[in-house]
Amino acid sequence: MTITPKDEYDPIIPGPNDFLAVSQDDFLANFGQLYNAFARNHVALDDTVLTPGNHTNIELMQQGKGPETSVGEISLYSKMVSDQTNQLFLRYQGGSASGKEVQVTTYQIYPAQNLAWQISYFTFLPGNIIVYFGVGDLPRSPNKNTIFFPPYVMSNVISCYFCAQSNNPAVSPTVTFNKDPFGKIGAANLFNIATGFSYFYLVIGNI
Amino acid sequence: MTYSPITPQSQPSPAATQAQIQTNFAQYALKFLVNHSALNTKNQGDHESVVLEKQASDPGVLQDKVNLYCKDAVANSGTEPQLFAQIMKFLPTSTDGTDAPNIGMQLTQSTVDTVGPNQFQSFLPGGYLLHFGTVTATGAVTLVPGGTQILTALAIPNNMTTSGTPTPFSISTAITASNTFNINSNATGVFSITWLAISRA
Repeated sequence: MTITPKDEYDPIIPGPNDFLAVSQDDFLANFGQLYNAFARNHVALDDTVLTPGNHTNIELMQQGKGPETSVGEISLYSKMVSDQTNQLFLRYQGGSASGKEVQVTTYQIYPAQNLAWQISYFTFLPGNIIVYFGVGDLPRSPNKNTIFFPPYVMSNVISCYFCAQSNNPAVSPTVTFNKDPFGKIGAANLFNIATGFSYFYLVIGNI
Repeated sequence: MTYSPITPQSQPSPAATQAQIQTNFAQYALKFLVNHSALNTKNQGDHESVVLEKQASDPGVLQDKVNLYCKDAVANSGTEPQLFAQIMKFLPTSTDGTDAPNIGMQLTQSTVDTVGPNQFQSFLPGGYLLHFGTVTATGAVTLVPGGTQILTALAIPNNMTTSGTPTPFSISTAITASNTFNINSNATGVFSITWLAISRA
Protein backbone atom coordinates (compact mmCIF):
# COMPACT_ATOMS: atom_id res chain seq x y z
CA MET A 1 0.00 0.00 0.00
CA THR A 2 1.24 3.50 -0.82
CA ILE A 3 -0.40 6.40 0.93
CA THR A 4 -0.49 9.82 -0.69
CA PRO A 5 -0.52 12.34 2.10
CA LYS A 6 -1.34 15.86 1.02
CA ASP A 7 1.44 17.56 3.00
CA GLU A 8 4.95 16.95 4.16
CA TYR A 9 5.62 15.57 7.61
CA ASP A 10 5.13 18.33 10.16
CA PRO A 11 6.96 17.63 13.43
CA ILE A 12 5.41 20.49 15.39
CA ILE A 13 1.73 19.66 15.30
CA PRO A 14 -0.57 20.01 17.03
CA GLY A 15 -0.03 23.53 18.33
CA PRO A 16 -0.57 24.11 22.04
CA ASN A 17 -3.87 25.88 21.48
CA ASP A 18 -5.17 23.74 18.64
CA PHE A 19 -8.33 21.78 19.05
CA LEU A 20 -7.81 18.20 18.01
CA ALA A 21 -10.37 18.75 15.28
CA VAL A 22 -8.28 21.59 13.86
CA SER A 23 -5.22 19.33 13.61
CA GLN A 24 -7.04 16.50 11.89
CA ASP A 25 -5.43 17.16 8.51
CA ASP A 26 -2.00 17.45 10.10
CA PHE A 27 -2.35 14.17 11.96
CA LEU A 28 -3.54 12.46 8.83
CA ALA A 29 -0.65 13.86 6.80
CA ASN A 30 1.92 12.91 9.42
CA PHE A 31 0.68 9.37 9.82
CA GLY A 32 0.74 8.99 6.05
CA GLN A 33 4.25 10.42 5.77
CA LEU A 34 5.55 8.20 8.55
CA TYR A 35 4.01 5.18 6.87
CA ASN A 36 5.54 5.94 3.47
CA ALA A 37 8.97 6.86 4.81
CA PHE A 38 9.12 3.76 6.96
CA ALA A 39 8.06 1.57 4.03
CA ARG A 40 11.27 2.45 2.18
CA ASN A 41 13.74 -0.38 2.79
CA HIS A 42 11.47 -1.81 5.52
CA VAL A 43 8.56 -4.18 5.82
CA ALA A 44 5.51 -1.90 6.02
CA LEU A 45 4.06 -0.93 9.38
CA ASP A 46 0.80 -2.75 8.75
CA ASP A 47 2.22 -5.90 7.12
CA THR A 48 0.58 -8.89 8.75
CA VAL A 49 2.75 -11.58 7.14
CA LEU A 50 6.32 -10.36 7.56
CA THR A 51 7.80 -8.54 10.52
CA PRO A 52 7.37 -4.76 10.30
CA GLY A 53 10.74 -3.15 11.03
CA ASN A 54 12.72 -5.86 9.27
CA HIS A 55 14.43 -4.71 6.12
CA THR A 56 13.49 -5.57 2.57
CA ASN A 57 16.79 -4.14 1.38
CA ILE A 58 19.24 -1.43 2.38
CA GLU A 59 19.85 1.44 -0.01
CA LEU A 60 22.99 3.30 0.99
CA MET A 61 23.14 6.78 -0.44
CA GLN A 62 26.53 8.02 -1.61
CA GLN A 63 28.54 9.63 1.17
CA GLY A 64 31.28 12.15 0.57
CA LYS A 65 33.11 10.88 3.63
CA GLY A 66 32.59 7.81 5.77
CA PRO A 67 30.62 8.53 8.93
CA GLU A 68 32.69 8.72 12.10
CA THR A 69 32.27 5.79 14.45
CA SER A 70 32.41 5.65 18.22
CA VAL A 71 33.59 2.86 20.46
CA GLY A 72 31.30 -0.11 19.99
CA GLU A 73 30.14 0.95 16.53
CA ILE A 74 30.99 0.02 12.98
CA SER A 75 29.42 1.68 9.97
CA LEU A 76 28.54 0.49 6.48
CA TYR A 77 28.15 3.12 3.81
CA SER A 78 28.53 3.78 0.12
CA LYS A 79 31.18 5.98 -1.44
CA MET A 80 32.22 6.80 -4.99
CA VAL A 81 35.33 5.01 -6.27
CA SER A 82 37.31 6.62 -9.07
CA ASP A 83 36.62 5.19 -12.55
CA GLN A 84 33.87 2.97 -11.12
CA THR A 85 30.74 3.85 -9.21
CA ASN A 86 29.60 3.62 -5.63
CA GLN A 87 31.04 0.75 -3.67
CA LEU A 88 30.34 -0.60 -0.21
CA PHE A 89 32.68 0.58 2.56
CA LEU A 90 33.05 -0.36 6.20
CA ARG A 91 34.52 1.76 8.96
CA TYR A 92 35.74 -0.02 12.08
CA GLN A 93 35.16 1.02 15.65
CA GLY A 94 36.30 4.57 16.30
CA GLY A 95 36.76 6.47 19.50
CA SER A 96 40.00 8.16 20.40
CA ALA A 97 41.49 7.00 17.13
CA SER A 98 39.54 7.33 13.92
CA GLY A 99 38.09 4.02 12.79
CA LYS A 100 39.91 2.48 9.85
CA GLU A 101 38.02 2.51 6.56
CA VAL A 102 37.95 -0.62 4.36
CA GLN A 103 36.48 -0.89 0.88
CA VAL A 104 34.34 -4.02 0.96
CA THR A 105 33.24 -4.39 -2.67
CA THR A 106 35.31 -3.73 -5.76
CA TYR A 107 34.49 -3.24 -9.39
CA GLN A 108 31.56 -5.23 -10.83
CA ILE A 109 31.55 -9.00 -11.02
CA TYR A 110 30.42 -10.33 -14.37
CA PRO A 111 31.34 -13.34 -16.53
CA ALA A 112 34.87 -12.58 -17.67
CA GLN A 113 35.80 -12.64 -21.32
CA ASN A 114 36.79 -16.16 -22.27
CA LEU A 115 39.55 -16.46 -24.84
CA ALA A 116 39.97 -19.36 -27.23
CA TRP A 117 42.86 -20.71 -25.17
CA GLN A 118 41.80 -19.67 -21.70
CA ILE A 119 38.90 -19.93 -19.24
CA SER A 120 38.89 -16.80 -17.09
CA TYR A 121 37.20 -15.80 -13.85
CA PHE A 122 37.60 -12.90 -11.50
CA THR A 123 36.33 -11.79 -8.14
CA PHE A 124 37.45 -9.41 -5.41
CA LEU A 125 38.56 -9.31 -1.81
CA PRO A 126 37.91 -6.50 0.68
CA GLY A 127 40.57 -3.81 0.42
CA ASN A 128 40.20 -2.95 -3.26
CA ILE A 129 41.82 -6.23 -4.27
CA ILE A 130 40.96 -8.06 -7.46
CA VAL A 131 41.51 -11.80 -7.90
CA TYR A 132 41.94 -13.47 -11.28
CA PHE A 133 41.83 -17.23 -11.66
CA GLY A 134 41.23 -19.91 -14.25
CA VAL A 135 43.22 -22.07 -16.62
CA GLY A 136 45.20 -21.23 -19.75
CA ASP A 137 46.01 -23.67 -22.55
CA LEU A 138 49.47 -22.25 -23.18
CA PRO A 139 50.27 -24.09 -26.43
CA ARG A 140 47.32 -22.26 -28.05
CA SER A 141 48.10 -18.86 -26.51
CA PRO A 142 50.11 -16.04 -28.14
CA ASN A 143 53.80 -16.93 -27.98
CA LYS A 144 52.65 -20.23 -26.46
CA ASN A 145 53.24 -18.87 -22.97
CA THR A 146 50.72 -16.07 -22.30
CA ILE A 147 47.88 -15.83 -19.81
CA PHE A 148 45.56 -12.80 -19.91
CA PHE A 149 43.68 -11.17 -17.05
CA PRO A 150 40.34 -9.79 -18.19
CA PRO A 151 38.99 -7.28 -17.25
CA TYR A 152 42.19 -5.35 -17.74
CA VAL A 153 42.05 -3.09 -14.67
CA MET A 154 44.88 -4.41 -12.46
CA SER A 155 47.45 -1.75 -11.58
CA ASN A 156 49.90 -3.92 -9.70
CA VAL A 157 50.38 -7.56 -8.80
CA ILE A 158 50.45 -8.51 -5.13
CA SER A 159 50.83 -12.26 -5.46
CA CYS A 160 50.60 -14.96 -8.14
CA TYR A 161 50.44 -18.73 -8.38
CA PHE A 162 50.76 -20.98 -11.41
CA CYS A 163 50.50 -24.75 -11.51
CA ALA A 164 50.68 -27.21 -14.40
CA GLN A 165 47.43 -28.97 -15.27
CA SER A 166 48.57 -32.51 -15.96
CA ASN A 167 49.07 -35.95 -14.55
CA ASN A 168 52.80 -35.41 -14.95
CA PRO A 169 54.54 -33.06 -12.52
CA ALA A 170 56.40 -30.05 -13.85
CA VAL A 171 58.74 -27.51 -12.32
CA SER A 172 57.23 -24.21 -11.24
CA PRO A 173 57.40 -21.60 -14.00
CA THR A 174 58.94 -18.17 -13.79
CA VAL A 175 56.77 -15.26 -14.86
CA THR A 176 56.90 -11.70 -16.16
CA PHE A 177 53.90 -9.36 -16.24
CA ASN A 178 53.03 -7.07 -19.12
CA LYS A 179 51.46 -3.60 -18.94
CA ASP A 180 49.03 -2.42 -21.59
CA PRO A 181 48.94 1.13 -23.02
CA PHE A 182 46.67 2.20 -20.12
CA GLY A 183 49.31 1.14 -17.62
CA LYS A 184 47.27 -1.87 -16.53
CA ILE A 185 48.76 -5.33 -16.10
CA GLY A 186 46.78 -7.32 -18.61
CA ALA A 187 48.86 -10.44 -19.17
CA ALA A 188 51.69 -12.64 -17.94
CA ASN A 189 54.29 -14.60 -19.83
CA LEU A 190 55.35 -17.90 -18.28
CA PHE A 191 58.82 -19.33 -18.76
CA ASN A 192 60.46 -22.60 -17.87
CA ILE A 193 57.17 -24.29 -18.65
CA ALA A 194 56.52 -27.88 -19.62
CA THR A 195 55.86 -28.22 -23.33
CA GLY A 196 52.24 -28.74 -24.21
CA PHE A 197 50.85 -28.13 -20.72
CA SER A 198 47.96 -25.99 -19.60
CA TYR A 199 48.42 -24.00 -16.40
CA PHE A 200 46.02 -23.13 -13.62
CA TYR A 201 46.54 -19.64 -12.30
CA LEU A 202 45.58 -17.35 -9.42
CA VAL A 203 46.73 -13.75 -9.48
CA ILE A 204 45.93 -11.18 -6.78
CA GLY A 205 46.36 -7.47 -7.40
CA ASN A 206 45.12 -3.94 -6.85
CA ILE A 207 42.90 -2.06 -9.24
CA MET B 1 -5.35 -2.41 16.60
CA THR B 2 -2.64 -1.97 14.01
CA TYR B 3 -1.11 1.15 12.53
CA SER B 4 -3.51 3.02 10.25
CA PRO B 5 -1.99 5.60 7.91
CA ILE B 6 -5.41 6.96 6.94
CA THR B 7 -6.39 8.16 10.38
CA PRO B 8 -7.97 10.45 11.49
CA GLN B 9 -10.59 11.17 8.87
CA SER B 10 -12.76 14.30 8.81
CA GLN B 11 -15.73 12.31 10.04
CA PRO B 12 -16.39 11.31 12.73
CA SER B 13 -14.86 13.85 15.08
CA PRO B 14 -11.12 13.27 15.58
CA ALA B 15 -11.88 12.99 19.22
CA ALA B 16 -13.69 9.78 18.41
CA THR B 17 -10.54 8.31 16.91
CA GLN B 18 -8.36 9.09 19.89
CA ALA B 19 -7.72 5.41 20.45
CA GLN B 20 -6.51 4.87 16.87
CA ILE B 21 -4.24 7.91 17.09
CA GLN B 22 -2.73 6.54 20.26
CA THR B 23 -2.39 3.13 18.64
CA ASN B 24 -0.54 4.67 15.69
CA PHE B 25 2.00 6.37 17.94
CA ALA B 26 2.44 3.21 19.99
CA GLN B 27 2.66 0.91 16.98
CA TYR B 28 5.16 3.16 15.26
CA ALA B 29 7.45 3.09 18.28
CA LEU B 30 7.04 -0.67 18.56
CA LYS B 31 7.77 -1.43 14.92
CA PHE B 32 10.61 1.07 14.80
CA LEU B 33 12.58 -0.71 17.50
CA VAL B 34 12.77 -3.84 15.33
CA ASN B 35 16.37 -3.72 14.00
CA HIS B 36 16.75 -0.15 15.32
CA SER B 37 17.63 1.53 18.59
CA ALA B 38 14.31 2.49 20.12
CA LEU B 39 12.83 5.96 20.16
CA ASN B 40 13.72 7.95 23.28
CA THR B 41 17.04 6.14 23.70
CA LYS B 42 20.47 7.69 23.30
CA ASN B 43 21.10 6.11 19.89
CA GLN B 44 17.54 6.23 18.56
CA GLY B 45 17.45 5.57 14.84
CA ASP B 46 20.75 3.66 14.75
CA HIS B 47 20.67 0.08 13.59
CA GLU B 48 21.31 -2.61 16.18
CA SER B 49 20.98 -5.41 13.67
CA VAL B 50 19.63 -5.84 10.19
CA VAL B 51 17.26 -8.65 9.29
CA LEU B 52 16.77 -8.81 5.53
CA GLU B 53 13.63 -10.36 4.12
CA LYS B 54 14.31 -12.50 1.04
CA GLN B 55 13.72 -10.76 -2.30
CA ALA B 56 12.56 -12.58 -5.41
CA SER B 57 14.87 -10.63 -7.74
CA ASP B 58 17.55 -7.95 -7.87
CA PRO B 59 15.93 -4.67 -6.79
CA GLY B 60 17.98 -2.54 -9.20
CA VAL B 61 20.00 0.63 -8.67
CA LEU B 62 19.46 3.80 -10.65
CA GLN B 63 21.17 6.38 -8.44
CA ASP B 64 24.58 6.78 -6.83
CA LYS B 65 24.08 4.23 -4.11
CA VAL B 66 24.71 0.65 -3.08
CA ASN B 67 21.77 -1.68 -2.57
CA LEU B 68 22.19 -4.56 -0.12
CA TYR B 69 19.61 -7.32 -0.06
CA CYS B 70 19.09 -11.02 0.37
CA LYS B 71 18.09 -13.42 -2.37
CA ASP B 72 18.12 -17.17 -2.93
CA ALA B 73 21.36 -18.49 -4.39
CA VAL B 74 21.63 -21.94 -5.89
CA ALA B 75 24.59 -24.01 -4.72
CA ASN B 76 25.61 -27.63 -4.65
CA SER B 77 24.94 -27.62 -0.91
CA GLY B 78 21.38 -26.40 -1.50
CA THR B 79 19.50 -23.22 -2.26
CA GLU B 80 19.64 -20.66 0.52
CA PRO B 81 19.24 -16.90 0.86
CA GLN B 82 22.56 -15.07 0.60
CA LEU B 83 23.65 -11.45 0.93
CA PHE B 84 23.89 -9.57 -2.37
CA ALA B 85 25.09 -6.09 -3.33
CA GLN B 86 24.04 -4.18 -6.40
CA ILE B 87 25.74 -1.03 -7.61
CA MET B 88 24.91 1.41 -10.33
CA LYS B 89 25.99 0.44 -13.84
CA PHE B 90 29.30 2.05 -14.81
CA LEU B 91 30.61 -0.20 -17.59
CA PRO B 92 31.83 0.15 -20.28
CA THR B 93 34.76 2.44 -19.47
CA SER B 94 37.86 3.51 -21.40
CA THR B 95 39.82 0.57 -19.94
CA ASP B 96 37.03 -2.03 -19.89
CA GLY B 97 34.78 -2.03 -22.93
CA THR B 98 32.47 -4.71 -21.57
CA ASP B 99 28.88 -3.50 -21.48
CA ALA B 100 28.27 -5.50 -18.32
CA PRO B 101 24.92 -5.10 -16.58
CA ASN B 102 24.87 -4.22 -12.91
CA ILE B 103 23.64 -7.62 -11.82
CA GLY B 104 23.64 -8.37 -8.12
CA MET B 105 26.95 -9.53 -6.72
CA GLN B 106 26.64 -12.46 -4.33
CA LEU B 107 28.77 -11.63 -1.29
CA THR B 108 28.27 -14.67 0.94
CA GLN B 109 28.00 -18.42 0.81
CA SER B 110 26.68 -20.83 3.42
CA THR B 111 29.53 -23.28 3.78
CA VAL B 112 32.59 -22.24 5.77
CA ASP B 113 35.10 -24.55 7.46
CA THR B 114 37.69 -22.89 9.64
CA VAL B 115 38.29 -25.94 11.83
CA GLY B 116 40.36 -28.04 9.46
CA PRO B 117 42.81 -29.39 10.36
CA ASN B 118 43.92 -30.40 6.87
CA GLN B 119 41.26 -28.76 4.72
CA PHE B 120 39.61 -25.38 5.12
CA GLN B 121 36.89 -23.59 3.21
CA SER B 122 35.61 -20.08 2.84
CA PHE B 123 33.90 -18.15 0.06
CA LEU B 124 34.60 -15.45 -2.48
CA PRO B 125 32.16 -12.89 -3.88
CA GLY B 126 30.43 -14.07 -7.01
CA GLY B 127 29.27 -17.46 -5.75
CA TYR B 128 32.68 -19.10 -5.48
CA LEU B 129 34.05 -21.42 -2.81
CA LEU B 130 37.68 -21.12 -1.73
CA HIS B 131 39.21 -24.40 -0.53
CA PHE B 132 42.71 -24.66 0.85
CA GLY B 133 44.89 -26.93 2.93
CA THR B 134 48.03 -29.01 3.15
CA VAL B 135 48.80 -32.63 2.28
CA THR B 136 51.80 -34.79 3.02
CA ALA B 137 51.19 -37.24 0.19
CA THR B 138 50.38 -36.96 -3.46
CA GLY B 139 47.08 -38.24 -4.78
CA ALA B 140 43.45 -37.26 -4.67
CA VAL B 141 42.15 -34.27 -2.73
CA THR B 142 38.40 -34.43 -2.21
CA LEU B 143 36.70 -31.15 -1.37
CA VAL B 144 34.11 -31.62 1.34
CA PRO B 145 31.63 -30.08 0.93
CA GLY B 146 32.38 -29.53 -2.72
CA GLY B 147 30.86 -27.14 -5.21
CA THR B 148 29.36 -27.86 -8.58
CA GLN B 149 32.64 -27.51 -10.49
CA ILE B 150 36.31 -26.95 -9.67
CA LEU B 151 37.55 -23.96 -11.66
CA THR B 152 41.20 -23.85 -10.66
CA ALA B 153 43.42 -26.09 -8.56
CA LEU B 154 46.91 -25.08 -7.48
CA ALA B 155 49.54 -26.93 -5.49
CA ILE B 156 52.87 -25.68 -4.22
CA PRO B 157 55.60 -27.91 -2.76
CA ASN B 158 56.92 -26.71 0.57
CA ASN B 159 60.13 -28.76 0.38
CA MET B 160 63.04 -29.20 -2.00
CA THR B 161 64.95 -32.19 -3.21
CA THR B 162 67.61 -33.39 -0.78
CA SER B 163 69.98 -35.13 -3.15
CA GLY B 164 72.48 -33.03 -5.06
CA THR B 165 71.69 -29.34 -5.44
CA PRO B 166 68.34 -28.70 -3.71
CA THR B 167 65.66 -27.79 -6.22
CA PRO B 168 61.90 -27.38 -5.80
CA PHE B 169 59.91 -30.51 -6.35
CA SER B 170 57.98 -30.66 -9.60
CA ILE B 171 54.22 -30.60 -9.22
CA SER B 172 50.97 -30.58 -11.16
CA THR B 173 47.27 -30.95 -10.58
CA ALA B 174 44.48 -32.56 -12.58
CA ILE B 175 40.77 -32.12 -11.91
CA THR B 176 39.08 -35.53 -11.92
CA ALA B 177 35.56 -34.75 -10.65
CA SER B 178 33.35 -31.88 -9.55
CA ASN B 179 34.86 -32.07 -6.08
CA THR B 180 38.14 -33.93 -6.58
CA PHE B 181 41.54 -33.17 -8.02
CA ASN B 182 44.79 -35.06 -8.02
CA ILE B 183 48.11 -33.66 -6.87
CA ASN B 184 51.08 -35.15 -8.74
CA SER B 185 54.68 -34.59 -7.71
CA ASN B 186 58.11 -36.16 -7.76
CA ALA B 187 58.37 -35.41 -4.05
CA THR B 188 59.77 -38.23 -1.97
CA GLY B 189 60.50 -38.78 1.68
CA VAL B 190 58.96 -36.37 4.17
CA PHE B 191 57.36 -33.43 2.42
CA SER B 192 54.31 -31.22 2.51
CA ILE B 193 52.36 -29.61 -0.28
CA THR B 194 50.14 -26.57 0.11
CA TRP B 195 47.10 -26.47 -2.14
CA LEU B 196 44.31 -24.09 -3.03
CA ALA B 197 41.25 -24.59 -5.20
CA ILE B 198 38.32 -22.42 -6.24
CA SER B 199 35.04 -23.97 -7.21
CA ARG B 200 31.69 -22.69 -8.32
CA ALA B 201 29.29 -23.08 -5.41
